[in-house]
Amino acid sequence: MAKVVIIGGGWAGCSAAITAKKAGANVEIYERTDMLIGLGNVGGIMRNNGRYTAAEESILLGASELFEITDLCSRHTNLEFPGHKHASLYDVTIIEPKVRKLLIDMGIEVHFQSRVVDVVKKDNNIKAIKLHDNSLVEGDIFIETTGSTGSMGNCLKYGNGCAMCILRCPSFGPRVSISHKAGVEDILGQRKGGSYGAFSGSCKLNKDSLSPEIQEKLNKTGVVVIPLAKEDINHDKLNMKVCQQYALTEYAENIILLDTGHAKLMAPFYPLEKLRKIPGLENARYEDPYAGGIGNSIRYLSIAPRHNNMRVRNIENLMCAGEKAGLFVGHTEAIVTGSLAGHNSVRLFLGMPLLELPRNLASGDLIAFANEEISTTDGLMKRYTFAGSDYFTRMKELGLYTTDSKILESKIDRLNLLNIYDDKLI
Amino acid sequence: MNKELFHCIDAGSEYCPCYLAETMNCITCSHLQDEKFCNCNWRGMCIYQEFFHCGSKLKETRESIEVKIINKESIGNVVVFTLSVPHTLARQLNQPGAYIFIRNKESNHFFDTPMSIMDSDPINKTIKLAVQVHGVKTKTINDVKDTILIRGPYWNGIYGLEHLKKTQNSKCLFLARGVAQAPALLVIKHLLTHNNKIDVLLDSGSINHEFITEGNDVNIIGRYDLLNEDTHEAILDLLQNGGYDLIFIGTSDYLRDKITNIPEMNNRKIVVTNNNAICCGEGICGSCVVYDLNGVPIKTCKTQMNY
Repeated sequence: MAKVVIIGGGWAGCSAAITAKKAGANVEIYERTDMLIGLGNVGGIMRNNGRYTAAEESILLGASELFEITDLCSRHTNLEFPGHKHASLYDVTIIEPKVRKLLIDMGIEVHFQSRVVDVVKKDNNIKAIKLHDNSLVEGDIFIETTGSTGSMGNCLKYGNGCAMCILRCPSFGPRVSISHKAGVEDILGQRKGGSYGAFSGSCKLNKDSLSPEIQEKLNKTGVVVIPLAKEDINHDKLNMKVCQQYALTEYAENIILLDTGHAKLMAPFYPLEKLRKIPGLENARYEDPYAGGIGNSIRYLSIAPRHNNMRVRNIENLMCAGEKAGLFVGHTEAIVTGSLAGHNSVRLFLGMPLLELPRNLASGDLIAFANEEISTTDGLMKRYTFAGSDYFTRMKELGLYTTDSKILESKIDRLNLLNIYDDKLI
Repeated sequence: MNKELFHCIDAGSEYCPCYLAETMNCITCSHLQDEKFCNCNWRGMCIYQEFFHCGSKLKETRESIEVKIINKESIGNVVVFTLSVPHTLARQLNQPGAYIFIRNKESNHFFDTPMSIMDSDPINKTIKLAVQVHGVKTKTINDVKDTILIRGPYWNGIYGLEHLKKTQNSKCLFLARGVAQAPALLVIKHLLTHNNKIDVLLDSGSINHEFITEGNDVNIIGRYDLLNEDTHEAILDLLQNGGYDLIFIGTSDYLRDKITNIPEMNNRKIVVTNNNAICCGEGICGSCVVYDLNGVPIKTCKTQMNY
């Protein structure tokens, strides 16, 4: 019986758990904090631009469960906001329990407040992982989905210090790079200017602290765009961000708010005094990070070199997904890579050839393209997301972008990959 | 599977960050070892963040202060001092493993001698030490008159503090020889407040005096010569039948290694005294450095470990 141990219960870890379970393995997730979906608790943006294609591809490949939940929890659908079409915004305040219930009902074992700090290796094979209380957990295949953000020392060195974000490092302890502990050096992303990492791209304001007009507009239409006074416009700040898909001029010249349950402010951070000068935001306060007035968490500090089948290089039995697997941005990207990693973890156990998603699917192309680019200097400064920036342009050029699931269905059927993630391998 | 991460006893305390952070030689934090990444054995506080908040300087130093000697009692070759100290210091020293440096105020800083705290009374603002007089430093300490110079607080006098914290409602066995009875007393005090029962095997060693008595709320099960092989038989017997959760060994390194070779000692929670030569307590002078199996130097005055 295959035992798949997943380190990190974010979107990537949850999707890996689901496909690994469906393929027939015993699955255990070890999550550092007391909640699942990690940054998904402060995210919310789905199906915008190329993510629509990627979501439909995933569903047709057989990984529909998490998309069903995000669709179900959406406060707004088919939304247009600067640079983005047909987006869905899910309600971050209600989503985590639904994901938790799904996993538990599927028989996936979830261990909370279980921080993994080390590995036990024999040659190039991981025998067990070590938790912060020194206990050991054995497994056959390990999947690392610990993300690439923080911890406090990194946020200080490469950012503005700990901003008290959802990752809650002071309370739950810092993330540990498992691949690094296993002897594989991390790759660090860069931003313009050569410094490492990038700021998380958005923060959240407490909706109740905004003016009634803004609250109403957010609830009704999902988006509020407030032009900034000329003297407050700063284009350079866009380079700091992880989320280059929101690094358009519109985002420097306006305050853009999206309704994801809280008011998502599409800027990495914004000094509170300046924020409160904006009409409607006079009493605004931050929901996440708590110190969003001074900074935000720093991402991309710990990417594992990997193959396109999500296996980490030079370790026989370690897979990775999500931000751990590349300079990816977004929940959809985490779910796409996670689902593949989970399915392949069982193939790996059985000695079957691992699946690589074909490059005529956006999902397959993103995974492969990001991998090619990360070995170049320029590539380290770019971000890879179906939602925008360079990659969405590439999707359109390659003819991969479509919102027509019928086209995708016949494509995936021809590739013989329809519902491949539903196959019980054991 | 990488470099061993050490736990510094001062991490997170009012004396962290220390001198070692300023020169990028922190025992615990990788950023303060000049690395590019985060790697530490997280104890609840980010030392790097703290260092930044201190303006990239150490937080507070431990300086020598002159204190009044309330009582000085000679018992054979041991002198028991009762000192009057500031309330804060008494409070800081009121824990297992606490030690200070002491010296005659006529002597220069080379004469700083590390001395375990035998007892601390924060309410009356006094501490007690037992000094066995037998060498250069301790002989000059014996000559003090009304006051003495002390420097503290330091906390790494005992290895195995983690075990102590986890021991409650259990039985403990103490093997204490000679002047090691002194640090044993603070450990006893701590364990008793957590509802533990303590059995003591006493060896008055070269000092020929018993600091641990029934008055300390322990059960003295015998007086033995711990060097003797027969005693080891008796200890083996105790371990097999006694139901002990924790063993305290207050002896020299040589004797400690012999005792821990007794078969039943495997897989037990063991607490031992730190017998290394300590001169600064700050991880700077190098006196206390011990090399592990991989040749990695360990500053034993600050590095807390399990035996």
